[in-house]
Amino acid sequence: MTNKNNLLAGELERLGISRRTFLKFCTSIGSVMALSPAQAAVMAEKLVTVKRQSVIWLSFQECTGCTESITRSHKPSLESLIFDFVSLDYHHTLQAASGHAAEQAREQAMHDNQGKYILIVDGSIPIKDDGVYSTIAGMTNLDMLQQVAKDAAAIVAVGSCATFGGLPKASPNPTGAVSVSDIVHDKPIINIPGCPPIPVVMTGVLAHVLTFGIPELDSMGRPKAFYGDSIHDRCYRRPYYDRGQFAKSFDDEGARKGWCLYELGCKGPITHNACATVKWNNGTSFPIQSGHGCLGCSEPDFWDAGGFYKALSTGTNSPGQWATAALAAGAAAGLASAYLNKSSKADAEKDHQPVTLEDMGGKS
Amino acid sequence: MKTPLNLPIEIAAPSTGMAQAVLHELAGHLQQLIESGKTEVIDLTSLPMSSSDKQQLETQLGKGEVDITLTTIGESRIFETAYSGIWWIRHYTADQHLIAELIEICSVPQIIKSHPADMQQALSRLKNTH
Repeated sequence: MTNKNNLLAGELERLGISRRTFLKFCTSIGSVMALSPAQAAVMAEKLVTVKRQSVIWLSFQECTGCTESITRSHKPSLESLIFDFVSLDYHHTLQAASGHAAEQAREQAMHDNQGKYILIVDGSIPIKDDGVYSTIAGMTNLDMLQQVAKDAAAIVAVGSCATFGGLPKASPNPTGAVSVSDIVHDKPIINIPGCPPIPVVMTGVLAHVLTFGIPELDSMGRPKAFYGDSIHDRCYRRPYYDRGQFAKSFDDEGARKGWCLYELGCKGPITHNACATVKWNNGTSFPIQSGHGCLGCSEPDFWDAGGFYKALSTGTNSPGQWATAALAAGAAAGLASAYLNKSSKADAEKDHQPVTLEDMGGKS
Repeated sequence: MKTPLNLPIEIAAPSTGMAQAVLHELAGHLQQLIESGKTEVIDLTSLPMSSSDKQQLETQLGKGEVDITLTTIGESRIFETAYSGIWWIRHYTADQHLIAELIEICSVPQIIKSHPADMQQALSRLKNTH
């Protein structure tokens, strides 16, 4: 009954991909997932014996950045291999079919794989005024999520909008945007926050689900492998922080020397993500390496957390969670907190001002 | 391609002492390999090492007698360091981006060995040609 061609092994052969190449793929995935190399080899052996997994991808109140991210990985991509291994049965941005044919494909996949398909969601769900603010094929996002989630094996919420509400939820949240986990309570949900998430994090989680099942999650439903450390923990500028060497403005001597950006508002210490190790744009760089602090885009309510250029320890209007973390970070900072505690109100106000071209060009 | 902006920014990579720490760890693993045959891998990508840390480590380990290039999707460059049993492995994508960097402590890195499934396929290809 099980046709070899339905298995990944057959798919590998069809694509002319050797097991050696595949092991390399699994090694790179395993590396970012902090799997032991032995587990990467097990993953390689297991992955080839699984059937092509049906995946339904629903895009709600979002900017398509998450889809952009995942489709802009390396080319030809080892990570993109994972998409040859799943059967992406519905994704209204990527699929060729439209209108009734598209919705029919979704219903067909739901019917054929009842209880077995993986549902991926990007975008938040507006629930104010009965969810009228975002609809697909005349159906509100709320209705569609509930309908498709009902028979899913697991749900992967991709991006900060689906995981935490994201930008649509930013104050004053005009559409009543909420996250997937605010609505669905009876299915396993894996949260992959980020604006957008790192491509390999998405593919890595899929590979893990296909082989070892749901990965270990933290209290916010995030895979510990990617979100277990803060950006700060893995930042190559960390030694400067430990020595108390901080850039005080963009383009001062400290900035040019690549010192820690903590005082320029870097949210690295309270942001859990893998940017510092996996990096962006095919491993080229990540915000801190480019000389800009981390915005904390993978944390809940990052948009409303009180200013991207405000040092954590000066925060006054941060949500409680951030303020607490900032205090802890400030305490550890030693020199940094001493400096920042003394900084005047005028400095704090200055930090609210948008950065101008003159600022970037180097003020005294 | 556009000429990149020539900004007067030099990001100095500090040496953090990580190279020494890894060397110490390697010694332990190599001893274990000799005594019990247990192989080990250190994933350099996930260690908070600066570029100068990595350079320092590579310089100290040096190059040994074996140098291997895999031409999978993208190359992989594998060499034995001057310390027998300690292999440095770099996996690249087709467009030359480094996606994994490991040090494997073993007699032959696992990825070099031929996989039974590949050999099976090779056999059927061979048979078809005759």
